Amino acid sequence: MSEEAGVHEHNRFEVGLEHADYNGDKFGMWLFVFTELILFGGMFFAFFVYSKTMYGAEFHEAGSHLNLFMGGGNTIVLLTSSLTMVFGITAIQYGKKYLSMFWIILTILFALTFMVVKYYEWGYKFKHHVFPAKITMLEKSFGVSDLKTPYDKEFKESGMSLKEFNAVPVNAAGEAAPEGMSADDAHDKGYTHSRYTRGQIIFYGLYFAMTGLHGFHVLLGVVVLLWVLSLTYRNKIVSNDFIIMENVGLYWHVVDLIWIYLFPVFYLVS
Amino acid sequence: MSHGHDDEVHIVSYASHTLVWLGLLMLSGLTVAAAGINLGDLNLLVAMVIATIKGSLVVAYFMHVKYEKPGLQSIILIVIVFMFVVFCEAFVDFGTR
Repeated sequence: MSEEAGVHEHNRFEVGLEHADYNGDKFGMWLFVFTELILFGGMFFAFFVYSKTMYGAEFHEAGSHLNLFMGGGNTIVLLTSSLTMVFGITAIQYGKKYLSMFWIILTILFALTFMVVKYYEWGYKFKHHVFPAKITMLEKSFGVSDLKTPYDKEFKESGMSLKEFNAVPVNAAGEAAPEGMSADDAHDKGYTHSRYTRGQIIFYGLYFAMTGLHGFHVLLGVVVLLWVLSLTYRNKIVSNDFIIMENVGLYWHVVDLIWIYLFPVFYLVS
Repeated sequence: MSHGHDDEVHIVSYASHTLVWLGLLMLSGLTVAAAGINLGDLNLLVAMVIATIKGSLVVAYFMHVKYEKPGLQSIILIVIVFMFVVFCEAFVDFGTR
């Protein structure tokens, strides 16, 4: 340690060990990463158990309504954002401040792209009256929810396939449109909803909870990446002190990692 | 760019990161392709195996674990193995009811 180390005010390694603990900083971040794995692991676990023990066929059917194109596109977006993130770290390690900032900005743009796609995906589901959250709340805010009642009994009695059953529109009271009525007619007479079974409701509950929590992590990622951007700009993250960027990178890769599992589980179960 | 002590930093090149990224994209394609083939119960297993290979690539290269000290590496490994064991135990339970 140099006596004049104080002049390098941005370099924690040279200022003194009492202020810099590179390994400790990194280990702390990993501990947080472990809690994230447990948080999402529990939800994946719930999905697997429901899927394998009770609602296999219904999960299968419900998953086929998700847009593979949007999900796959978002997979590419997130994987690429992970690449730009590590490019940002490599750039700062080489001391290329503005190049590093460029990669971080790209990462943020990819994160926002992901959220825009998510917005359309969820919007599409809302349009078809598939909502997250508590049913009573939805009734208050939207006046209606198709997920109010599981129609398991009606489904069993109908003798239809699940797809056919979902396709028969019902009115707010849950009465099916009379047979032979055209789709437009049925829509005009208030038969505007679909009937879902308990397994499908659980599938969408998990879908909204898990992709919602993941989306929240993406948004949080945008916030911390903006923070990293500002630190880099102000020379607080430099070529020999970049642990904050590295740790934010770890966080961002966890977000990517979770999506790597979310995508096949929800979009490809069908 | 000296560190002066044992915090030696390993800089991973743009090229090797790009290779990992290409591998991840190809595996994603493989996931979608594999889902198109009906393997019954095996479909989910195949999807999870591919996802785990992808995850390992992300952890090893993007998260830099391949270049960490053995101490941190073993802690990470223990956590992952532990989670895997807990999942497997429960699957054995639910699978045999």
